[in-house]
Amino acid sequence: MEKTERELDTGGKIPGRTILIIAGLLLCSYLFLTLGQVSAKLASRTIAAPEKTTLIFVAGTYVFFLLRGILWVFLLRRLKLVLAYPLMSVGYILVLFVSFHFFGETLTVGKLLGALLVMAGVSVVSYGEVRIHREDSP
Amino acid sequence: MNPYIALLLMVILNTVGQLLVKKGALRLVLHRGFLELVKSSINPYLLLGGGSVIAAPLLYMYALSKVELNVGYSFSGLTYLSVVLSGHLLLHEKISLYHIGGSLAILAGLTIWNIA
Repeated sequence: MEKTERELDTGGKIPGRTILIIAGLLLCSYLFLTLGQVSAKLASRTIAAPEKTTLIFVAGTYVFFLLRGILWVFLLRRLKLVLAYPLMSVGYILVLFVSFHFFGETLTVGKLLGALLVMAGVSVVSYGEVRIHREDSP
Repeated sequence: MNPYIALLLMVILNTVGQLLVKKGALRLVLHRGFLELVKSSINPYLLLGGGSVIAAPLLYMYALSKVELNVGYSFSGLTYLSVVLSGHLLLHEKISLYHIGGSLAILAGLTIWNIA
């Protein structure tokens, strides 16, 4: 199989600058995930009888969800699928800690194990995706 | 509405939205100027897809008013399953044992998450 230019770019040694950009994109993506989830939870508290602040949190939820979606597209341009999905699924662990820290929800070993199993599953599914597309290409 | 029904509806809307946006994006006219691009973006696939993408967070916020944030967020993991399943059943995309095994692991993980 011939390697495309892009594969050569990321397949061999990845230049330091690219790693910095990817790390930056990932960190921002985790940040927007956190802000979006906190915003959604805060909005939900008053959504039955909306106040002025409800609208701010609802709008914030949409903005942070959208920003995260845009970052995801940029991340996929620089990172292979098989790495991008597992790295994004770190969000499951993150949200467990966010729920515990900001809203005092229960954080148990079982929940963390469950999140790890979800991350493993996501990794295996994305590996399956990559394998299928490799077979399809000439 | 039961919050878990709302969360499942959110998963369905996100999945349907993704499939519709994917189909609708293929209809975009890209190289004949801005006006043609805008005109082609007003197609039923993109409009319905866009509608689902906008409605899903509202269902999510409603559900969060009744369940914990970590419980609500865990349901987003079901989107992987429904995307794999609907891609295979509706768009006839190939799947492998990795897809099936991974999906089962996600399902097991979400179950442990919510009963532990």
